[in-house]
Amino acid sequence: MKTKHQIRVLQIGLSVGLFTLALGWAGWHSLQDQSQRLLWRATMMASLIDSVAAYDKVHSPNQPLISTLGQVRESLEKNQSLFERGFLYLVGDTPEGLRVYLAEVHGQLAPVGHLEGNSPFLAPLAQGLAGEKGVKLISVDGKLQVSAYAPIPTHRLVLLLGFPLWDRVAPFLWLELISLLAGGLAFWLGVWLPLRQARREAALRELEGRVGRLMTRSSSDGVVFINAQGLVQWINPAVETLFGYQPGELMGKNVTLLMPEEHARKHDEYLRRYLAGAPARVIGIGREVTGRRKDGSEFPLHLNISDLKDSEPGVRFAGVLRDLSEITTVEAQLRAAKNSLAKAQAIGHMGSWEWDIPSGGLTWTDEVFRIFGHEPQAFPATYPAFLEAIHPDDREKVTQGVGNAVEKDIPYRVEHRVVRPSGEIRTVLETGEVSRDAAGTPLRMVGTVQDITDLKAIQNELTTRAVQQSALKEILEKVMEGMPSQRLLEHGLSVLGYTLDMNFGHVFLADPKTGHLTPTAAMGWPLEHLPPLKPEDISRSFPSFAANNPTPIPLEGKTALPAHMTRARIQGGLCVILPGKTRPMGLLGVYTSQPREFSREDLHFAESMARMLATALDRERIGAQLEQSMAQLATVVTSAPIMLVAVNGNNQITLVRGRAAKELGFNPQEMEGKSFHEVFSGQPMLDRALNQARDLESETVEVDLGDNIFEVRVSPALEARGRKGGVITVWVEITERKKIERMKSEFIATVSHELRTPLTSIRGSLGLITGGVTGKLPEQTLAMLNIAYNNSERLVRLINDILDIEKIESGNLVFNHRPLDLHQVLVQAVESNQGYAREYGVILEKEIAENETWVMADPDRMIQVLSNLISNAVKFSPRGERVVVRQLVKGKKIRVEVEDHGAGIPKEFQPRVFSKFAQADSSDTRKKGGTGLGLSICRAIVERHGGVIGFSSGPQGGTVFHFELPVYQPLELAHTEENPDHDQVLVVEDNADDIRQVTEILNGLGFKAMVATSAEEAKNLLARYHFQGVLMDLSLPGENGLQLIHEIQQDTRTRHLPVVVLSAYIDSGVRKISGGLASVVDMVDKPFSPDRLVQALSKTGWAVGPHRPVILHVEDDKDVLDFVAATFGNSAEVLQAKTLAAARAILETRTVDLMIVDQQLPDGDGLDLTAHLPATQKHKLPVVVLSAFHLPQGAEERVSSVFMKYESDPGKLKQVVNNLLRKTQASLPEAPLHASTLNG
Amino acid sequence: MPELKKIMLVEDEPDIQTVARISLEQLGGFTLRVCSGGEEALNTIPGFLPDLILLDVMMPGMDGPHTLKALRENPATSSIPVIFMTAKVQPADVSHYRSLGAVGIIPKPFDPMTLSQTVGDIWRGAHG
Repeated sequence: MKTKHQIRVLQIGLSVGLFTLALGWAGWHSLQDQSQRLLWRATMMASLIDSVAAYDKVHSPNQPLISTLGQVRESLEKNQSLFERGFLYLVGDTPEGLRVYLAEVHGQLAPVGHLEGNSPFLAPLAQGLAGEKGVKLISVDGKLQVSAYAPIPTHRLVLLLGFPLWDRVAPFLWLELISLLAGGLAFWLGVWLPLRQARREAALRELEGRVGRLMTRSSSDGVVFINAQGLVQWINPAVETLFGYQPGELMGKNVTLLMPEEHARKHDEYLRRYLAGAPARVIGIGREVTGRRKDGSEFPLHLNISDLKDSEPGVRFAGVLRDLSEITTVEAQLRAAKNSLAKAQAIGHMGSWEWDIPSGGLTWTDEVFRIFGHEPQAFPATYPAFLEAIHPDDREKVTQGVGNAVEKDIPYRVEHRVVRPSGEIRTVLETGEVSRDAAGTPLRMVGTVQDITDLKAIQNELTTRAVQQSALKEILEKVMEGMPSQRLLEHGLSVLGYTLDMNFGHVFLADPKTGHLTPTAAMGWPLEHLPPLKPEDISRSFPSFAANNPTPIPLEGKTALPAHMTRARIQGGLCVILPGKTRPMGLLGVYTSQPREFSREDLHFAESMARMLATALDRERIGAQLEQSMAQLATVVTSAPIMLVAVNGNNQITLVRGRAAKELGFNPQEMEGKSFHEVFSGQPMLDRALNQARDLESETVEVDLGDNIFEVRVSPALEARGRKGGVITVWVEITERKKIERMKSEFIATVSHELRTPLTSIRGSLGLITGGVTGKLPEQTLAMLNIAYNNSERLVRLINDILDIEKIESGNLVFNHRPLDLHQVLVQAVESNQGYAREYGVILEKEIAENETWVMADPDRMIQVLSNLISNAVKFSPRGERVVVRQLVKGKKIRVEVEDHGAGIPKEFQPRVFSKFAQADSSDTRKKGGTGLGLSICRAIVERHGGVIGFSSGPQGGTVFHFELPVYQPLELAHTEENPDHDQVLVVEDNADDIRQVTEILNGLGFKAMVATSAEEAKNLLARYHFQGVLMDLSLPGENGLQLIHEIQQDTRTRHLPVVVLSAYIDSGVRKISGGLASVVDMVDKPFSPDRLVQALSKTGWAVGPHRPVILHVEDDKDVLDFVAATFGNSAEVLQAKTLAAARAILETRTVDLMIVDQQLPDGDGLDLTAHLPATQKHKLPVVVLSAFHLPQGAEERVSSVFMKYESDPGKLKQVVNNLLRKTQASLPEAPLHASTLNG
Repeated sequence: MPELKKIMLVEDEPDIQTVARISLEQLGGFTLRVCSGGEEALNTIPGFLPDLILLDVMMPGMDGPHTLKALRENPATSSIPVIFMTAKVQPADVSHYRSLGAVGIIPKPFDPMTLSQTVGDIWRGAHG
């Protein structure tokens, strides 16, 4: 209300103010305007008069000016209104002085006469006479006049027009004055008064606020205002907190909420009665009541209620409450704290005291009494009593400390001893502080006394331990530095002696042979004074010696000491055994001539020292042994008929050792430092083994160096800190062994064959006879003949098996691997064994999943394995039992099981099941007609297929033999691009072994061999097909080989073909003749090594041999590695790496032409290899990704081509690789892929 | 399919000849001519013109494969199917025989009781 009123007054004030301003402005403007108009008129009139006067001067020169003026006057009179209350003068400058001709006064014009010398008009006149015009304020008869002047040049006259200023300004001024007064009144009413009011109110509010806050908000006391009905009108936060309510929650609620129920029920009634005039029981009297919190819990509180009567509208009572529970708690806490302090003082052995300096009164807590060895408060504490308790030697220190504190205000902190009445000495630490009055006079001193006796003991102990620790550390450092044991023992002895405060010491070392102890180091005695100790001396003086236990044994008085110790009057000390691995190595002792006790730590220290010295001794001994055995090893290696070649991570030969090296014409000195590839070039198997060794896989390979054949064991050499890369190769020459092996193979093959021929007759004859062809025989005769027949059959099987075993063992067993549906093979094997099963009365069944199950296998060998397992199962099954052949697919493996219900395999035989000539019961061999070689062959075959074979046999009988083969992913072969002209080689050869060998080599190089066994056949094929070239044996059936070469050269279609001659009979004549033939590029003696043939083939211009491109294949899956290796065969050198690390090692050392990478490798993504290629690699190394996953975004630019593993097609892969290689000028031999390449 | 009647056995071992003769003549009911070597066979075959030839591999003089080649070179005999009957049956040997054009291989020792049947099977296979 007030504010609104003020605003209105303010508005009026402002309006008046504005009006005043406007009025002022208008007045001033009007004045200016009138002045200007006055001037204008004056000017106009002056020029009018001037022009009239000028006219008169010309036309009526004699007419006096005055007539002219009369005219002027006339014209002026017409405009008199203009000059109302103004004046007009015409003043002329005449020789008689200034004359006024016309004057207007109060509307009348009249001649005036002379202008007085003090006339106010003189100033404007002077201006006008000077030819100027303007307006001037002049004072005429005490009145301000506005006067305009203008010259009339013709008569030297000046026209003066004017009006009194006051007349014109007065109305404005009055108005101004009134409005100023109005504005001032408005300001006083609207601004100044309200402002003063507001300031007063604000001050009041602030005061109120301050008081209110003090009273209500910040106070822990609760304040409640209620109305006459008991409803809460206002409360402070303390109440809400006290009773557990949310802010504002209680507003308007009945105050009974805060009371226990019995009070609450009566409250309303009480309130009513009180207001009706009943005497007050509560109001105005403070008392303790009970409050009820929101959660229902009750608490004591102090309540004071005042009746406010009607002093405030809407509020009747004010209540002030205080929580009493807290006060109770605080009191309890204080008591507890006192107790805790007392307890703490007791536990910490710390008492406190207070000394009133002026009076000299001293107060001790109970603990001080205890520390001083008295019952608590046993006597009044006084300063002299205190000094009495202090150790006499420390009293001065204490009094000085107290004096310093009191006089110089130096903090009191004194450690001193206290002598208890019992005589016990305790060490205490006292601290204290002096408090002073304003003038600095010391009033009181308060302090603590702490019993630090135990602490001191621990501190001393710790110091000793620290010294011992650092002593041990020092010895350890010496050990690590390799200090010789003699010096170490001396040093250790002196350190032990010094640390344990001993002045004698000795070390004896045991002689392992004699068992004597030899003095080795001494302290306090000259070493030469120490006697060697014989076993009997030892057992007498150091009976614990035999225990080999380094627990120190303190010296006891009873022991019979050696002479040097007796002489030194040794009374105390320690003896420690230097423990060895099996027997003690020696004895260490430190002694003193005083009896001495040792702490547990001292003993521990001595034991640690002994162990450390023993370790060092042991190390030195081992070192010596190691050196010796290294020397022995070196001798063995150097003199062994082997060659040891170590290669580092950069493929550099670092070491060549062994007798074989020299004997075989190697020069170790020359080889060391050279590149391994340089020394042993053209050995892909060796390179591969080297790379594998870098993947930490050892391998043994055969290496044919032309004159000698070696078996090379290639193993990873783990260098210091497990760094990979180094490889150790151990070369054993096996030339002779190979020769013998070959002879043995040939011998066995021949013998087997030769044995079969007579066997054919024997078995045939017996077969016919037992078959009844020759007529019926007596039963006994037939039985005997059956025995003979069965055994001849067994002999045949034996021969077959021996032949197989021999081939397996010599590694000559040839497998015709091809993709094979194992399911079909199983069906076939089961079918073909049904007859056999019937013979034994056994039911042969198959449980085969009908789906196709592909493996890479030799079908004949698979049949052989299955037949073997089935026939075994049948043989060992009781009649009428079932034999089940099962096939299961287990992830990436196919498992075949053959289950029988026979007697099972005896436990003791189980480990030998797959051994040669092993049968559980030797009588079985004959009874069951087996050779004892079957399972051995089976295992070899399965393992050569990359599978595993095994069995399980329960004690209740029944055996399950199983084998597992990896599942083969059928590949689609590329046939479309095949061009027979480009990869076909004609082989003219009639020897089957040579055909096989040549074909294999050619296939390996990516060529297809077409075989002709005669010159005639060769000519036929030459006429029908196109070939890359001819490999030809000279000794052919029918037409001579040389003749054939001639004919090839004659024919225009074949004359360009390069010919490689193979022959066992290249004599000089032949060499001369065929050498002269242009198309013969090389002649190879039979028998030949694959390398020799490859070398010859390289001369044909076909891309074979050393120019093969190098492909790095990075892949961890062995199957894929094999697949890619097979895809490229010998047409490229495929370096394999199973990890990124291995790949990087290869990239560091070999320049590769292309990379095939997998994305998911054990140690990362194959694509990462492209990021940092070594400088030796090509700038744009083609990268082919062969992966199970699609490329990540953005990786395309790092990759030349992508193949998905599940759809990879070897033909296409090879084609793409070739295209990429061609771009980098390292193409593969032109040879699309064939099944034979893959199968190889 | 022509009926298998006349068989030529080329085998240098007399004992085996005897056994085979019983198997093929007596049990199989074939007309059999036996030669002891390659040259002899080459001389006899044009006159005998067997339906099928059983050829041993290892023989003194001309061995089995050479005999086969010679037979192939003579238009009169080039189409007579040949079975190698041999103890040399390592996988490499077998594939060699196949490459020479043999229709079948019967490993020695053979079962005299089933020899005729085996030969008949191969015959039918070669003509099927």
